Amino acid sequence: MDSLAGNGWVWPLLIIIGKSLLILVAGLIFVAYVLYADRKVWAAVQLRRGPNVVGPWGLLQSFADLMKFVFKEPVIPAGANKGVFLLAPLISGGLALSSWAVIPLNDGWAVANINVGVLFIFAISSLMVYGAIMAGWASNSKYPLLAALRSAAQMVSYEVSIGFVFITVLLCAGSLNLNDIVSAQDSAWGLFGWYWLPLLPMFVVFFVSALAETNRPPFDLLEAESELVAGYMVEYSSAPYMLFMLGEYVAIITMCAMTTVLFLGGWLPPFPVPPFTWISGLIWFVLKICLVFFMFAMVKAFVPRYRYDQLMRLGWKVFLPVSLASVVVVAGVLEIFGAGAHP
Amino acid sequence: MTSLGEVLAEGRRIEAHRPRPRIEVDAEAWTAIAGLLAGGRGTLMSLWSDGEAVHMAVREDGKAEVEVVSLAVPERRFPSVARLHPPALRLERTIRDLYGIDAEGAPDARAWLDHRRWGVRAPLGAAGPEPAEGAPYAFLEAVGAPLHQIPVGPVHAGIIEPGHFRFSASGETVVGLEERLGYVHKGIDGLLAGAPLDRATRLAGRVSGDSTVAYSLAFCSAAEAALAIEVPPRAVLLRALMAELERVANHFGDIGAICNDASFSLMHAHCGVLRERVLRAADAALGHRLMMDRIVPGGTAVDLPRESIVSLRGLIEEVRRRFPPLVRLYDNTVSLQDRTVGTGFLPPRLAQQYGCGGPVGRASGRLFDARRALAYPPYPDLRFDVPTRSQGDVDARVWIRIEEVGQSLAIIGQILDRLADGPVRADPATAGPAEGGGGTAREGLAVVEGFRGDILAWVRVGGDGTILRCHLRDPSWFQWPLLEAAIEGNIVADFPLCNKSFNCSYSGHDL
Repeated sequence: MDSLAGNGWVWPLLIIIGKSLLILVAGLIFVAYVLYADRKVWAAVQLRRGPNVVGPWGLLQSFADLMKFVFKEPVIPAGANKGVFLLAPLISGGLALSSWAVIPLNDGWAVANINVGVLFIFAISSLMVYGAIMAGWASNSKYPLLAALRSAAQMVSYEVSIGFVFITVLLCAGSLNLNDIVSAQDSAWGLFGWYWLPLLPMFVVFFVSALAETNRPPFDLLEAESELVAGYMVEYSSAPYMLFMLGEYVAIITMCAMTTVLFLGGWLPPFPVPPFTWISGLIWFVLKICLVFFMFAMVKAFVPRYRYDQLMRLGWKVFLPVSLASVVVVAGVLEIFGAGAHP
Repeated sequence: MTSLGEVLAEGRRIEAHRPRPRIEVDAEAWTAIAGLLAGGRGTLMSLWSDGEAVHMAVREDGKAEVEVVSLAVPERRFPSVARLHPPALRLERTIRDLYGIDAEGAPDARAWLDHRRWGVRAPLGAAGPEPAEGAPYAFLEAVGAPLHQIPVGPVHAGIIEPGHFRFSASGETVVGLEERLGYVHKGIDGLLAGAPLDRATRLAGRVSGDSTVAYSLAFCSAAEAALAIEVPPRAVLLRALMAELERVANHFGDIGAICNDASFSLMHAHCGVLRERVLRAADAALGHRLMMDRIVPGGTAVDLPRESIVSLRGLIEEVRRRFPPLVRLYDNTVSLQDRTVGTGFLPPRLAQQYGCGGPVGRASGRLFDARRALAYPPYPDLRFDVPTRSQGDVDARVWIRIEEVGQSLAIIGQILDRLADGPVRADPATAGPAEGGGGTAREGLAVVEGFRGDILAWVRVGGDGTILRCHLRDPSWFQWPLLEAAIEGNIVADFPLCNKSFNCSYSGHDL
């Protein structure tokens, strides 16, 4: 024991493992209910009832689905490249979860409070495309391949705009650390001091790009079921399929969290006065994620799917110039009026 | 220049055919008629055979009558119509598949409905043994370096009917589409031959399930024309009521399904609810959701209870209240319009050439609605408009359906106003005497407007009341080929939208 305690790295490691497990378990349970909420919102818009059988009001539906996925036999097509085929969902699910390492749930509450948090998130979301490409290629089938090509083009296109949005926020906050970005939004103005108001066009661009980046409707072109069956996932079943689904929803929650951190003041209360300040920052953070996710769900419910060329046109011809111009404008304003020009 | 009427005047009139005499012509006149059709002097309504002759239903534009022209084929071949007039092509291939009668000079020698899986060749003609497995179906090839083929179907991802689509694509752009149909061939023509009238009526009502009312109406009207049965006025109105209910229900289904193919499921769900209200109202009023077997020779099998008039009026009110907000939603959703406007353009020229009926034809500027153009009862007494558009895209086809829902509701309201008490089925004893004695065959033709377009029915009834031959032509025969034209130049992802906006019948076509 002495020798263990004596090593300077053991306790921090154990604490990090503990924190990781905690956020993993909490995060997965959260995802289960986000999935449920997504289905319920969609059903309500279509005048249906949605999941309502497993558990009271269907609350245990996601867990029943989990059991089903886990206990079904994974089917691997004969012509598939087995190694890559199985690696793809692991990459997709694993990367999605790993981005949660840097997201601050409350002041200083991050598994790793690194000073390049934004870059880390950006890198992870760029790597996510590999999951799709590997799945599409390894399936050795036409539809997954077409879907994978679409997904690569789509994700790369929208990452460019997201990158510029990041830059405008970084210019305002003066830091790459996510914790510092939230702290920079703390002002007497409350929610009107958060970056969504001064950077409103960027907020819109980020929200729409986040939909495209996570392949959510109306940008779910790589799994447009009326065109490509289920996209790159068409050959997948049981647990590997579940990992894709999981990765997708975790990535969506990550994007909701990033929207919250960059534009909606993270864990900050809407007004810095009681009773708002009595409530824990964690609760505010989760509430804001839920709000952003509700917007994600509503968009899915009533916006028709874009055509592939329309999606590309929007990304390259509208969002890219807008975000590029914004970087110039924001940098100019900050240069002329000083860094204190923003609340 | 000769007109269709002048050529027909020289033929021999067969008076046992009603409502107009059938006209027997020689091969020369037959080819002349094909030439006139190709020149746009008339519309080909159908082309079929009964084993001894080939028949062609034609209509001179602007005339309210459909003429049937016959050419005897003792040598089991006839001059091809398709050689001059392409819309006849698939019908000629079908005649060869079913009867073994060849169209001489036809530009396409491949089989159409016969996939070499029937175990017999030309089952309705000189049925012979099937040849051993031959070469696979030769699809028309589009050649070039970047072109590739995408086979889709016959099994699709969804509860839809089977059909094969072979795309030649350059990247995402469709260069060519070739359809292969015939997967749901049921041998309807063979089953109908020799069937008693009541069984034949049931069969006709099952040719294409979503158009069961229109098919029953077409078949019964043709049989009544042949047998000179007078349908009581109340039954005439009830039949129209059913036809309009069927049209409204199917249009709701189509409008929702088209939006759903652009992933606009909100519209699909709400249209689905409205469709369900119509089907339930039909069930409550007439005893069957799809009103199958409600129309019988001589009238209707059921009467409309008095209390149902109130509930149907309630239905009209409900639809008029709930549908306009959905239409506004469709019209105001810009990203949905981005998908439908300009997509799947069908040139009016092609719609005219193919005599394409229904919302597909009317969205491409072809003003033809059998209810108005052929004026069969009770429609001449009812007020309604026939909406047309000239854009010819998916959006126009949606709008035609939206507008037709309004017209059908107005028609239903007028029918409910006019419905007077009386019998709903003619006494079979009132059937008129057959020309030249009871033992000879009598023939009848009818065209009615289903929700897809005009359905043509032709029957030959024997002296004992059994059906000797029957031909049922679905509107899809002249719409399927146009889908191939409409998709050209669009991207593969827009095919579901185009296909759904046509919504052709597989079952009605494959027979």
